[in-house]
Parts: sequence; C-alpha cells; structure tokens
Amino acid sequence: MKGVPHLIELNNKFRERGFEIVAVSDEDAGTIEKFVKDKSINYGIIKASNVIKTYGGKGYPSAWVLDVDGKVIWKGHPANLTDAMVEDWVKDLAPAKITKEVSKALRNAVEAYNKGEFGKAETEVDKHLGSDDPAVKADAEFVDGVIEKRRAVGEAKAAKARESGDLPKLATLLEAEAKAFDGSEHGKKCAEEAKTVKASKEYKDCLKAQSELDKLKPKINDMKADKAKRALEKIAKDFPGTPAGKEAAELAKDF
Amino acid sequence: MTKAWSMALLAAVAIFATALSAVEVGDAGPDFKFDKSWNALEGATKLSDYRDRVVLLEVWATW
Repeated sequence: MKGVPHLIELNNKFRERGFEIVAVSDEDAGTIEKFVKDKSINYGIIKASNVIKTYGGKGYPSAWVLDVDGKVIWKGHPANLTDAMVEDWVKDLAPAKITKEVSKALRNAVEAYNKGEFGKAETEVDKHLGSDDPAVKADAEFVDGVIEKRRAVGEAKAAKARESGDLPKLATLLEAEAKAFDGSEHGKKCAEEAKTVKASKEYKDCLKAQSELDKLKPKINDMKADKAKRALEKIAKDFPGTPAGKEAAELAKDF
Repeated sequence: MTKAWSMALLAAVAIFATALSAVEVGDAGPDFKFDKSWNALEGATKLSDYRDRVVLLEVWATW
C-alpha cells in the first residue's frame, strides 16, 4: 500500500505535537501484525470491526480527521492530506502528555507536565532556558512552548465562559487552572480572578437562577401551560444574562 | 401512548438514517472500541481516549 510512507512521515512530523493516527483494519491480528513489522509502521494501528460501516466509508482507504472534541473536521482520501493542513490543525494544540525523549535536565519538567502540574513544570523549565548546552536549551524551549500552548487552551476556554456569562463554569475553570499552574504567575492570576468572580453579584445570580430552574423543571410537565410559561419567564426576567435565565427563556417558548 | 409511539418511530428513523449516511464534516465521530492495537497512544482502548488530540482516522486493508 503506497500510503504507508506518507503516514509514517506525518507521524514523525506531527505526533509529538498532538496529532495521532488511528489506522483501523478488521483483518485478523496475524495479518495486521506481519504488515506492521514488514513495513516498519510506527503510527497507531488498530484492529476493530465495523468502523468503515459506521463511518460510511466508500472503500479502502478512507479517512476522517477529528478535532480534540471528537468532531469531524475533514474527510477524504488520506493521500490528499498535506503537511500544511496538519500544521494548521495542530498549531494550537497542547497535548496532555509529552512523549518526546528530552535531555536529562528536562526530565523533571516533563514529568511535572505529564502529571498536570504545569506551574511546577514551568519552574523547572525556567532553570534551563539559558543553558549553554544547545540540546538542553532546545528541549527547554520545546517544553516551554508546550506549556505556553496549554495556558492558551485554558485561557480560550475561560474567555468562552466569560463571553457567554457562564460565571459558575468560569469560576470552576479558573480554579482548575489555578491548581494546575500553582507556583507560577499565571496560577496566581487565575486564583485571584476566580475569587473575584465568585464574590460578584452576577455569579450569585447565576447560581440562584440555576437553583430556581432546577426546582421548577421536575414539576413543569404537570403544571398548566400558562402557569409553567409564567414561572419560566419569571426566571428569565429576574436573571437575564445567566445561563439558566437564558435556558428558561428558551423553554418558555415551548409553552 | 401516541406520544410514546411517535418517539419510538423517531428513534427508529434516526437509527436507520445513521446506519445509512456517512459521517460528514461537522458530525461527531462515532466512538468504537479497539480489539487490538500496535503503536497506539499508551493506554488507549477506544477512539474517545484520544480526546485531547487531533486524530486521523483511517480505514485500510493490507490488500
């Protein structure tokens, strides 16, 4: 199969950056294993049945690309995948685990990162960013870059929650980030913002709206339609801009 | 009763439609379990174990 070298190349270039190949065959394990060995395949090969049927593939090979949430962002013949396309998909990724072999000096940083202790990883990396050994310096810059991206991923999520007015979600996110980045400036900033958010009136309104909606929901189908509508509209009116308020407004339309 | 029937019908139609139509861009990629794997992400036993990564799912055959 002529596609193998192309996939090996993509794997070599992008796996460390969060791009994973899942190549599925439903042939027997012995046949697959021999092929993997003969072709020195280093990307992920999976034996599973019915995948082509479930995904509606038209023949072999067929491919789909899924984003970090499992949503399909591309489909087609794998030969049509270019480096530029993959580069675009991975440019903002922060893999949960660093699997790259790094110099000894950076092992503690990688270990901390892989445990989700990004603040600690940052402290470790900082020690080696100015190293005289070019290999160590390059590895430090690599790990530093991954931490930086991971921070951006968290910030993007927080920005989304902030924009939508979902303050309980924002507070939870910020607290998780504060814990993960404990020991760094970023962690301190997240902890402070979480505190400010939780002390705000808007945050308390979100919680109140949610609790009123939660109380109303189980009863709503037994209520008379006009009464249900009024109860929902009251929550929407009392707590505009909150997620539960918006949900109540949407639900009210059904009555 | 009528409501329950129509719900069941809707569900049946949905399942039928899913079985027939291909997974398109914008759809959620259906999850599946791995029977066996080589060089896969450490500890992964199903597609959804790859959730923090971009995944190229390829269906292929040795022939």
